[in-house]
Amino acid sequence: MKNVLALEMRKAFRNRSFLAVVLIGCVLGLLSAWMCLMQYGQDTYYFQIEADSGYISNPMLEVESFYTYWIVMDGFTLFSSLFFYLLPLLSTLPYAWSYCQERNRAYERNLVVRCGRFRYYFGKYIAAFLSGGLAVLLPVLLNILVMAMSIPARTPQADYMIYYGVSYGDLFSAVFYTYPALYVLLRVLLIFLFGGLLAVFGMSVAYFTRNRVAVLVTPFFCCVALQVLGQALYSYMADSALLSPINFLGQSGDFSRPLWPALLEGGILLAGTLLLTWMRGRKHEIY
Amino acid sequence: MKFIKLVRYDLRHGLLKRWKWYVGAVLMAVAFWLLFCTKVASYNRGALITGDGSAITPSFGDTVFFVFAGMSEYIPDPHQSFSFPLIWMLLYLVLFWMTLEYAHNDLTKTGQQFLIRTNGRMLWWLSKCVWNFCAVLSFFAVIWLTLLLLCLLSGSPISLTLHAPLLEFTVPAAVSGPGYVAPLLFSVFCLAPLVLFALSMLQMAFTLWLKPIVSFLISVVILVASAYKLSPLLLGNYAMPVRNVIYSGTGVTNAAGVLLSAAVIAAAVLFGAVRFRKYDVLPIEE
Repeated sequence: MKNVLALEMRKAFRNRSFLAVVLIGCVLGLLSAWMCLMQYGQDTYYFQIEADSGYISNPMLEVESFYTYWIVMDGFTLFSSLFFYLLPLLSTLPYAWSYCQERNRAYERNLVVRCGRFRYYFGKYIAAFLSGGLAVLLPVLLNILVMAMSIPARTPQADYMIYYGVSYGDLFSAVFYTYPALYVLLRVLLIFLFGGLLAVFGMSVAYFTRNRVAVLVTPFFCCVALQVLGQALYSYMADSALLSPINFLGQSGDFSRPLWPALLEGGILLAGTLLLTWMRGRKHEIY
Repeated sequence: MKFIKLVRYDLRHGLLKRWKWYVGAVLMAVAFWLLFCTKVASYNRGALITGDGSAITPSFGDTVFFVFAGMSEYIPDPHQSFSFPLIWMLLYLVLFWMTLEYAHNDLTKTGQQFLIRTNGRMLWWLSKCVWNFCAVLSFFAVIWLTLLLLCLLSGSPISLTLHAPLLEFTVPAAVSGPGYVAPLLFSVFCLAPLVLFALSMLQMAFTLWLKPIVSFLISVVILVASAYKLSPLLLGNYAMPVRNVIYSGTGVTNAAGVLLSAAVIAAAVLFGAVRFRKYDVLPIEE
């Protein structure tokens, strides 16, 4: 297993698709940071002028914090919107296509004969998961780095809740006002997990089709369809507005962002893809 | 081999044999119509409770407008997140996926035979352009006809009259405006297909330079950027009737939309033809 995994990892992280996706993500992350820094500069400048003129006595400095401007909390720039909208595509592009390609080229047969079905499929699964997760994680980390270097990390205050968009019952809201760094960590972890899960979802689509484009875009279309479904159910179930990972991974404005869609969808994706891969590893005719 | 034979082949294999895409389009239109019905029902319920207005029976025009409306201009504000026009995006992304691969796949299969038999490459490329036009038009036609049929079955009046109060409620992006305006209907029924044909042609031309998935990625970026920024240079804006100058002072005009779409189509056909003349068809990946 170790050799197969090492081989798959090498293939997953040393390919042009992975590098291109990380580069695209980093550009989006940096542009988002740049726009947010401009906004931060503008806001603090006006606050200063108003404070100096005695027009306001409370400059609400806690609102102007790293925790309100990093990419996950930035819902107003084009680049963060693009990043989270493209996230399902960015996570499948690095390596989710690999199984489909090897199957189409019959390379799968060579490897399965040499290392066994189970090892081959699970090696692929782990590599796809890690490459998808890392491809979306690295741009987020870069954004955090740039923002943390530029804006003070003032602890958020619950009094200014409307400015943060994190209300009672929201995803990890229990820690946002007390341990904001932990909140950042949890949100980043969630992005990594969903990046990985969407990548293995794409890989699992290849068990049913030989169409490479379908493998890459199916997770994306499922996420977009979930967005529409969430909107359709909103009148009946206010919690459902943010059903799609595109929504609950990023900033989503006025809608509340409960934890259950993330748990439910994450659980289904994990269990479903593991089951399919296990079935594939147990019994699959490669010829 | 005559050009008409090529077109006939493309229409048979690219449209008729890919009927499942149209089944998907029908299902999507049914889902959107159901969503519209729930919104109309809550509008009418609200109107009855508050007594502000009487219940409205939506027309065919209202239904089509709901599906193709898009969103009004977004003014970036740190305290107001950007929300996507979900139905509008899904609809056009499916169309982009539908027209993404046919030409590219055909080239790797029977297309090479056609290139030998037609004794030239231009006819093959022009035939794919005609196919693209027919695919976009038929996609819109399927959506329109499905909505028309559903309106007939549900007893909605088959008229193009728009009920502004209802649309203001069902399409949160729409601002109240005139009930019936020919230029607005032109933007819904003519400009939207034209714009989507232009974008689809651009995507098809890009597949000659880039991998299909990268072309698709570019199309998604154009759609998202159009939704985010109201600019006459971003083609997607013309496919959003609520961004028409009739509804929004800073909106886009139909004339500019037609001109820009025509320019993009001409550029895509031309650059695609130039690229395809020297295109190496043999080492393409499966």
